[in-house]
Formats: sequence, C-alpha cells, structure tokens
Amino acid sequence: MGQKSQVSSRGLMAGISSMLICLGLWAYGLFFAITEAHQGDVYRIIYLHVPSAFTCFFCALVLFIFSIKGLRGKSSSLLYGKATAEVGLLFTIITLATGSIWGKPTWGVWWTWDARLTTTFILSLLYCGYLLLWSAMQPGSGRVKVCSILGILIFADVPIIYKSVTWWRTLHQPPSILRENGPTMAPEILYLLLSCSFAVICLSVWMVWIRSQNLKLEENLNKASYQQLEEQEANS
Amino acid sequence: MSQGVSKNQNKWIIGGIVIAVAIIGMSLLTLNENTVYFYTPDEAVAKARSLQGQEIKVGGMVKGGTVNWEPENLMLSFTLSDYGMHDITVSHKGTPPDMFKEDQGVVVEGKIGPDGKTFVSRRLMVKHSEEYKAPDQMHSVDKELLEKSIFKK
Amino acid sequence: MIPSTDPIPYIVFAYSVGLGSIFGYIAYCLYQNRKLSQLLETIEKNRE
Repeated sequence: MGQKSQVSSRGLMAGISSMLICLGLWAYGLFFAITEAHQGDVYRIIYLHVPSAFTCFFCALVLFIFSIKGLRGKSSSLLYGKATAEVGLLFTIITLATGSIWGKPTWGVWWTWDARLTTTFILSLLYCGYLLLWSAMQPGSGRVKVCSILGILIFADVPIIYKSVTWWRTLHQPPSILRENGPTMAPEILYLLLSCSFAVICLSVWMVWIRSQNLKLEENLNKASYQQLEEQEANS
Repeated sequence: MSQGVSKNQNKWIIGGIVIAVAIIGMSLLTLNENTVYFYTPDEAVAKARSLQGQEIKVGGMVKGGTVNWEPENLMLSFTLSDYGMHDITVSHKGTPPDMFKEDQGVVVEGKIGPDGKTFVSRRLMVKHSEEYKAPDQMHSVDKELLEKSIFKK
Repeated sequence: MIPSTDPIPYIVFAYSVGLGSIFGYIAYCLYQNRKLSQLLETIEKNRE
C-alpha cells in the first residue's frame, strides 16, 4: 500500500505554522490595525470575511483542476475533489456568515437578495450538491463524470460572483482592490488584508491536504477489511 | 448503478434538487430583466404611477440639509436624491443604521406615492462606498464612488 | 443624532463563527487521522 499512516511531522509543522500565522495576522487586525474612518472598529471583520471569500474562490479553482483531471480519466482526482469541496463549502459559509454579521451594523440588515449575496449563496448550494452527489453515487466512472461536471459549474459561478457588483445594482459595494484607478483602501488596511488572504488560502491548502490523507486512509482501510474478509473465507 | 439503497436514493434526489435550484436561480438572475434590485430616483419617479401599491426599492443619496429626526416618536424624514432633477421625500419609522448621514447612499424599501414625490419606507438600508480610509485628513472619494455605484445604468 | 452601536458583539460573533468552524474542522481532521491510522496499523498487525 505504501501509504503514510500518520501525518508526517513535517506535514504537521506546516499546518501549525499556517494556523499560527493566520492567528497572528487576525490578532493584529483585531487589536493593532487602524480604525477605519467611515465604519469605525466594526470594519475589522474584513480581515476574516474577504480572505474567506478569496479562499472559497480558490477552492473552486482547485476543484476545477481536479474536475478536468477527472474528466480526462484520472479517477483518483475525485478523492481530492471531495476534500476541496468540503473546505470550499466551509469557507463559503464563513463568507456568508461574517458578511451577514458585518452587514447588520453597517447596511442595517442581516441579509438581502442582491446579486452578490445571491450568487454566493448559490455557490454554497453548488458545493453542497457536489458533496451530496459524491456520497450518493456508487464509486465509478459515472460518479467521476457527474461530479467533475459539477466541479466545472462551481468554478463558473466564481467570476459571476466577483463581477456581480459591477454588472448589476447591488447593496454590496463594488470591489475595493482590483479596480481601474487603483485600490480605494488605505495602504495599511490593504497590505494587512492581502497578507491575511494569502495566509488563509495557504491554510485552506493544508486543510485540503490533511482531509485528503484521511480519505486515502479510509480507502485503504476498506481495502484491508475486504482482504481480511476474503482471506477468512478462503481459509474456512 | 444497480443497487439503490433508499438512503442513497434520497441523497440523489436531494442533490439533484439542490443543483436544479442553483441553476434555476442563476438563470433567473441573468435572464430576468424585470428583476431590478433597486430603481434610481428618476426611474422611480417615471414609473411611480404604474408601481402603485407595490413594494419597491429605490436607491439614491441623502441630500444634505434635509434630514429630520424625531427621537420621541422615532420618525425620520429626508430627501432621497440623484443630485439632479429628482428628489423624493422619504419618511421612515425607526432608528436608521449608524452609517446613515448626509451624502450617504441609501436603499429604501417601501411604497412610492403616485406623483413620485413621496415615499413611505418600511426598511432603510445604508449603501456605503468601497472606500476604506485611515482617520486622518486624507482626501476622500466616498461621494464620487457612491454616485458611480448607485446611478450606473 | 443616533447612539453608536457597540461593534464588539459583532466582531466577537463573526470571529467566533469563523475561527470556531476552521479550527473545529482541523481538530476533527487530526482526530480522525489518529483514529484511522491506528485502525490501519491494527489490521496490518493482525495479518502478520
């Protein structure tokens, strides 16, 4: 089998470093970053909300790559697809929840069905659908095809989400970073935000990795159990 | 897929429904041009007669010098404007969000009067700009950003 | 004009939800990893 049983100490160190860096950056954002002129201190939710949004987009991209591989015949990519979809769903939910909590004291509402919020909600449904189909279908080429197609659909939603505030009238404000005349953010806020985003994406990569390790272990366990059963039957 | 254990079949069905809802939702957003999230003041005024009795949303700017707040009975009134030809007097019952102020963007949800000059707001949402700035004297582009975002066609 | 809303409950709520779910998921993964590895080891030992 040749499968690494326990998480290697290098793998664990990578995870712990990732977590510590994220925690450090968040602590800085919460206690040391400047207060924003328009919103006051409540804006600090940005250091969690925006990185989570970028991360769920990133997971969609990774899932897209695994889905293409799946359609080209690499059926083992479906295992990584499940891990990626789980982490992607987690960060989409965090994006929606933190956005909602931030929206109440600023916009005045917990929720509204504008294009940005609706398309992001749809992303969470798509991730859910992927995971449901993954567990409902029997392993095989049928499942690989269906899930891979859905993985592509998930990725297709991402540019729609991103452009939604530009294409339609929304309550959610337009982009602050990637815009024509440059970012509309004070440099201190911008640099911290980009650092958090990078750190959280790295953390999500590690989360996908460790979850994939577990899925492989489960697979090997199933194989080992079957072998044991077969051997017992052969001996009896 | 020869065997359908009923639990798996349910997951199939649920998964299919979830995806169908998602696809339908996406299609509705893109294809339904009647679904405008909010009207601008000029659009609302022009359509006021045909929008009678409907719950609609109108987005605009809070015109300076027009805000009147009565804390005793929680009545707020102000002029919703596009800084052009169309001003709408909005009345709203309840404390507005903290970020509500003059020259701020707002989206009000409620009913418009037949001449388009008045609006009774049931829900008031602040539409703030995408500017994040340090609390110093630095030049703010807040108002320009808001106008660009609210009044785009 | 209007009293300022205290931002702290919202900040605490948002970060609790975010950090709680992220580290909860990680903790579950690490726990699962331990359990599954031990199970696999046991099965392989029994086959020898």
